Amino acid sequence: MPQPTIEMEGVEKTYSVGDTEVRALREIDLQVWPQDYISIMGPSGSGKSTLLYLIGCLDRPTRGSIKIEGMDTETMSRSAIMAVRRNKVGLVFQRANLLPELTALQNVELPTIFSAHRGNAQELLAMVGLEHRVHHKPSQLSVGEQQRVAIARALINDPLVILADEPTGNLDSIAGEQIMSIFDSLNAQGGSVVVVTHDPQVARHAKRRIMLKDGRIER
Amino acid sequence: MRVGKALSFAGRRLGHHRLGVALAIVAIAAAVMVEITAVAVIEGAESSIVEGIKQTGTNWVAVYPGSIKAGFAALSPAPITQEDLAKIQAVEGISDVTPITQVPAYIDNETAGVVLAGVYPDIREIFEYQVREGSFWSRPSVSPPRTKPVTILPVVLGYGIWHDFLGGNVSVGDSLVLWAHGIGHRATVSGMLEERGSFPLLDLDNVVYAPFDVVAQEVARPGMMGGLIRIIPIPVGPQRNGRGGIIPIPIPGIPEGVREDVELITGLKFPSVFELLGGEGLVMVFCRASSWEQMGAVAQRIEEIMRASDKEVTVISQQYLTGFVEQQVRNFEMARGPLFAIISLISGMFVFSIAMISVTTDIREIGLLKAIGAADGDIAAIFLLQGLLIGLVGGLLGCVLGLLTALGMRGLGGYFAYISPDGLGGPMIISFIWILILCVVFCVYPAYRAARLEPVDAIRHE
Repeated sequence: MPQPTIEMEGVEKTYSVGDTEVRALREIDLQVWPQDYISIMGPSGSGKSTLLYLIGCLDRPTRGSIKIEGMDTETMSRSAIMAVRRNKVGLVFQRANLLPELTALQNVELPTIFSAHRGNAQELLAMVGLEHRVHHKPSQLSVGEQQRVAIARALINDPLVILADEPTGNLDSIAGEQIMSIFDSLNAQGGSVVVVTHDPQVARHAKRRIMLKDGRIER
Repeated sequence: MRVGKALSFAGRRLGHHRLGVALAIVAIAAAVMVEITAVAVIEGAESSIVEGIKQTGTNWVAVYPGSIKAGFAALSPAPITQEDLAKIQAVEGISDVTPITQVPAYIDNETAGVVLAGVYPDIREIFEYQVREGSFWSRPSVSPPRTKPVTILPVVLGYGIWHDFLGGNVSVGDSLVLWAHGIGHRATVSGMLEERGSFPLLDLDNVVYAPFDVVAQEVARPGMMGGLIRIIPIPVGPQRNGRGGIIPIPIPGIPEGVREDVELITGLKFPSVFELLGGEGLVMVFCRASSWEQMGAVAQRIEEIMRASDKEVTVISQQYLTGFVEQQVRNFEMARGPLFAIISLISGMFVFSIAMISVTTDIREIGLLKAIGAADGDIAAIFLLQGLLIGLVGGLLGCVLGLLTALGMRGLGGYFAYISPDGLGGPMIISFIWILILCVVFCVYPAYRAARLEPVDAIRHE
């Protein structure tokens, strides 16, 4: 029986804002399977990004369990969580978050400073159609190109799953389509992709669509 | 973490805060430069002064009337008398001795440092003079006390006098006029000395030596002590008229009345030179110990003898002076360490500030690094590497600037002439390593703060 790559069970996340407690996520049960392609939609404040950050081990749940390849993150040390983040997931944000002083190639290679992986940054840039822009700095790239560099960076450590938080939110429709076609291609090659988006056009690329409302999953 | 890549990345990150980083580097460089320069100056000054003192003569011991303890300001210290001089001379371990009295002089309006000194010929051995031409006078012919005028006034010219002031146009047997307070005294050059050098406490070249009692009684008389002696070269050959005494001579441009004064002076019955000079506090005695090791004992014996005569004197030996300077240098050395520590700590605060600014303004970037796999230790290491890089650049810059400053100062000569880059290697390495450690240590707290940032908070930071 296949094992989910990521399994969330009864996950809740509560933030304290002053004296008030804000329940961002409630009773989330979710599995991300190998070669899965999920879109998470929902209105602002519904907890989409919070859910993505929990999947990516950027944050810890208030309650419930998250298992990565069967290992419960709750029992993991801080350094083990970091290792998961480094080796199991690749994150793409709404903004590309490239370091301006580095070239496209150096930005893609950045995660390799901290890991033993030696992914081929040139190949990844070629895969996202930027083989001719490897030595350009972010300021010399369009926003869409910057986002493609960010995708290549997320892939450098050969992750189990790509997590994208509004990856097309800052792009025009053409650039957005280019980005989504990259995700499609990654998924077609066997990768798992989870995309948070507002845009139904973007969500349509996914095999599974999840709606979040008030911190709960609506199916 | 790959150290090479991390170092390169840390270096690039410094570009985020160029001005702050530049200021930190300048502060670090300034601290190291000041340290290197201070070492160079202190070492150079020590070498200069100590070597200078060692080169001034052979195991000399100086005796001054009055005591440091009582304060040199004591108005009338008991003079050193001829009887005292005889006692000093009898001290075991002393081989040569001379009283010295000196008055400032000038030649052809040049006043800088020229001195007319009354001495015994023992001065030659005490200060290791080499006579280039002629000779010193022999002591018996002018030994004090004396009540009648001398028949000849021999002078021996230091190298600076005959070579620099008189341009080399003087020979043994030539005459000079010592013109003091309206009285001209013909002197005959009996010898000229080889170059001996100018030292921190003694100028052994710009001096005209004459017999002690003559200078004491007839040139530097009481009431004239503060006056300048004008030395007028008149290369007309040796004195020939045979009149005896210090011969007054008519000199072009000098009023007629001068000669009457001279006649009056030469007709006086002079008191003892010690009675004259001791009261002025200007007589000192120089003697020579038979060995370097003997100096301390000789100085102690002289003090004991003088104390037994109820006389306060100050005895300074070449050995004591060397030790004194070395002690002062050690004191400076001791002060230098804490001073460098303070300056470097202040410069370290610049490093701390820029690292803290980086933590607070680059939060989102730190979050990104964590999101793409950087561990807490990786983030901390990047901050520490940034401190290391600032220390490396600032430290190296400081070493180079310190070295250049030291060498530049050496070019000024004098005390700085002894500055040598050879002695700076150790201090440069120590201060460089200290600065590296300091810069890293000052980045520890910012590194900790950055490492402990939660990635989700950092990512969401706007």
